[in-house]
Amino acid sequence: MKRRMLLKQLGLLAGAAVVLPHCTGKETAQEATISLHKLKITGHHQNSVTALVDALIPKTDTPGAKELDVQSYVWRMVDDCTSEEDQKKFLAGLDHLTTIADDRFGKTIAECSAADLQTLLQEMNDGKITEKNVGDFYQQFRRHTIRGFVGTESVMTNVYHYNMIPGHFTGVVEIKDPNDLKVILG
Amino acid sequence: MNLNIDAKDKNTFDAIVIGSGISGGWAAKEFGEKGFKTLVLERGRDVKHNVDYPTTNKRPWEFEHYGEMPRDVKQENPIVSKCYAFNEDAAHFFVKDKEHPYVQDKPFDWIRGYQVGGKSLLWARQTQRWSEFDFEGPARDGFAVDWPIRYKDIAPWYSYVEKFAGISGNKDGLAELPDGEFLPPMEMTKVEQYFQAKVAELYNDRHIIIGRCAHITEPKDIHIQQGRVKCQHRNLCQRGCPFGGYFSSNASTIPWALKTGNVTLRPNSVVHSIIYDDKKGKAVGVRVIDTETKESIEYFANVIFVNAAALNTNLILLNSTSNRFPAGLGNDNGLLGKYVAFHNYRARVSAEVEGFENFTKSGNRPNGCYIPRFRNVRKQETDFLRGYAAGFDANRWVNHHAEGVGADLKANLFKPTLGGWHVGSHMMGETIPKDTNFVSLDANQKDAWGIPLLKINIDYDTNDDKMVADYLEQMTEMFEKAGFKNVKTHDSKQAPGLDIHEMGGVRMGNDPKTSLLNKWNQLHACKNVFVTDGACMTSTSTQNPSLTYMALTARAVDYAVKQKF
Ligand SMILES: Cc1cc2nc3c(=O)[nH]c(=O)nc-3n(C[C@H](O)[C@H](O)[C@H](O)COP(=O)(O)OP(=O)(O)OC[C@H]3O[C@@H](n4cnc5c(N)ncnc54)[C@H](O)[C@@H]3O)c2cc1C
Repeated sequence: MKRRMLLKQLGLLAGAAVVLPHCTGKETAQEATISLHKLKITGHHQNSVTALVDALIPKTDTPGAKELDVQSYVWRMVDDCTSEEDQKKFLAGLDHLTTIADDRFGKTIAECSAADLQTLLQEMNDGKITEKNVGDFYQQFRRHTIRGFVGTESVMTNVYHYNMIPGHFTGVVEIKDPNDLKVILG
Repeated sequence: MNLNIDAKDKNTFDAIVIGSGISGGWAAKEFGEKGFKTLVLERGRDVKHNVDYPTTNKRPWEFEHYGEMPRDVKQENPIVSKCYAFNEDAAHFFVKDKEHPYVQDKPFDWIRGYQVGGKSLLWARQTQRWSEFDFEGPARDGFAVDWPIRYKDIAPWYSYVEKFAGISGNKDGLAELPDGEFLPPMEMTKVEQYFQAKVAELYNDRHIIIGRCAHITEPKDIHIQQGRVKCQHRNLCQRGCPFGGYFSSNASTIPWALKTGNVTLRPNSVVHSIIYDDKKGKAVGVRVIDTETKESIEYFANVIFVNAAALNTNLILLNSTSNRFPAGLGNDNGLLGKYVAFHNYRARVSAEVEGFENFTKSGNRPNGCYIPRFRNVRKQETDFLRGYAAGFDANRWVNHHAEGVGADLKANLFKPTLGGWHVGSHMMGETIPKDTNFVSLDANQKDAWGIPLLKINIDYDTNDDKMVADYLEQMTEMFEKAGFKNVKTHDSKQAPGLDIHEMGGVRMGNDPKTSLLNKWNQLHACKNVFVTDGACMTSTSTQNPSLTYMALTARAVDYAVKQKF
């Protein structure tokens, strides 16, 4: 994978017209370990999304999105609940992001440090990288990751105090502490 | 010979009820309690209370797509996908488009539930009584035919079914929306209370009230006997309620009927037609197709209740032909299938509310507020006939903060804040039954059981358009006068059907020349056949209809058991 970087440093990689496979044989051959209904993805796609999920919502003193397996939710949503057109954009954008990571860091997305990925994520978030469907990829990826994360059992129960059986409805509650999540989420 | 007689004996009952939904469940319970050996025929599978509610205790993260339906399912089922309740948690209680096709001569979103309990598992449980103004409507305004009954005829039966079903509501003392046998009302939010007071101050004929709904807010002995307890405010009703907190046939009437020992429930039994005996001059039974064995079986009874839900009841009667009734059972006047109507749910209005920051709500409310019809109630006052009721809600937004990336994003996600208040309303308009709104049988296409497909020919008219415009105008005015901001109006132009309040086709009336059923819901021309689901409705008024089907059913069974058929 260092090949692009090497070529670049050697001044051999000039202009976008040069098309080179961005993955080495070893990585393309790697098969995805999740089975999807429609999407055909590689192990590289899978590992990239996992790394990005981890970088977007990292582990702190509470579990991060990767630990909570949000990546599986992201793939399920893209695979089952997304139009064919948006699916294509998702994978095309992810592929191009792979190229960008390689250009910038000389690494696959999965090899990048969290800090490197967060730099990329921040730029995508600021709308600075949108070309070749990266913007479309990012919108979908971000939406599913956030939704997937806040919907996990861990966040729902530990943070949002989810209770299936409230047992009551009180129409008028006077707010004493405006920061009390139990009050906010009612 | 003897074998045949035995088989016939085995297949002979005092009463047959077709359909086990809201109305059929009531017929079964009433017949069972009155000692009638009763057969309930249900085309769908059995759904036993609690046992067959596969999603009822699933938590949100246990749904593969957090509730959202997969793309393929939506593409394969464009019609049912339009229903707001068709989600991962309840999709198994809806008919899928492909499984049960019908012909749309005009667009009609026919939403169905084929299983024991029918749509009673899925309904939104809003239950209002009709008033005298509603029953008088057609006669006063000169459309359809005069209802053969008035409020006083049905009032005791409303009480009767309300006590058993469990209806929560407030005694509002409104002539246009009579009070019922209410369990305690649910609460209104701060802004709902404000709007209620404001509207009372600004208008003397408009009222904001808490919705009346089929939820047990305080169990009475009769509910405990059914094994049902207090509503737990889970807001997961469409999955089937393990507490029996809301009324469904599955939690209430069906198990009650079975407990009498007089009722046999036969799921997987599609009624093909009703058998009319020309010699005896009456209906003698029904022809059924077993969906599992594909076997055609005949069942016999002295009295038959047709409760297959409005349009399927039309279909069964249209398909029940004989020498005496070549155009469908009881159809001497050619009106069977005609004068179908529905509720106009096209329009909504929303707005933002400033202030009230110190207030919020807590818990869930499986209910909303209600604005009873205020147009043309006591006299004709607009350039359109009849009027509309409306739903109303006021809630606060919860702002989820999703700014940033990495640890910042995460910290933001953990700190949702309360946003402003917003209000929303949707209309429920009366539509006028017309002979141009009708259902019929397709001449060529048949379903998997050899039954002709239903052809639906139903549309809006200019009266509906005027009513939409008036609702949008009046609701905007009410919101603006209350000081709400950023009022937005919307006409979805949704096709008829999605209201899921289709009615008529076998209407009640005094005159056999212009109606199919008499004041007891009996076919004028075949007195041992009764229709007490939505098909019987002469007009639609604006109330959610199911409570009226329950009351008409209990009343009709009471009458039927006193007859010598
Ligand atoms: C999402 C939703 C929200 C709703 N909200 C409300 C509300 O708030 N208030 C209200 O009043 N109403 C509401 N409704 C409408 C309400 O569900 C119906 O009015 C009610 O269920 C009608 O009762 P029924 O007995 O006529 O029909 P169903 O409850 O539909 O039962 C009919 C039964 O007959 C069976 N059947 C049909 N054909 C045959 C055949 N040939 N042979 C044997 N069996 C047959 C069906 O399988 C079904 O089980 C709502 C409906 C839905 C889906």
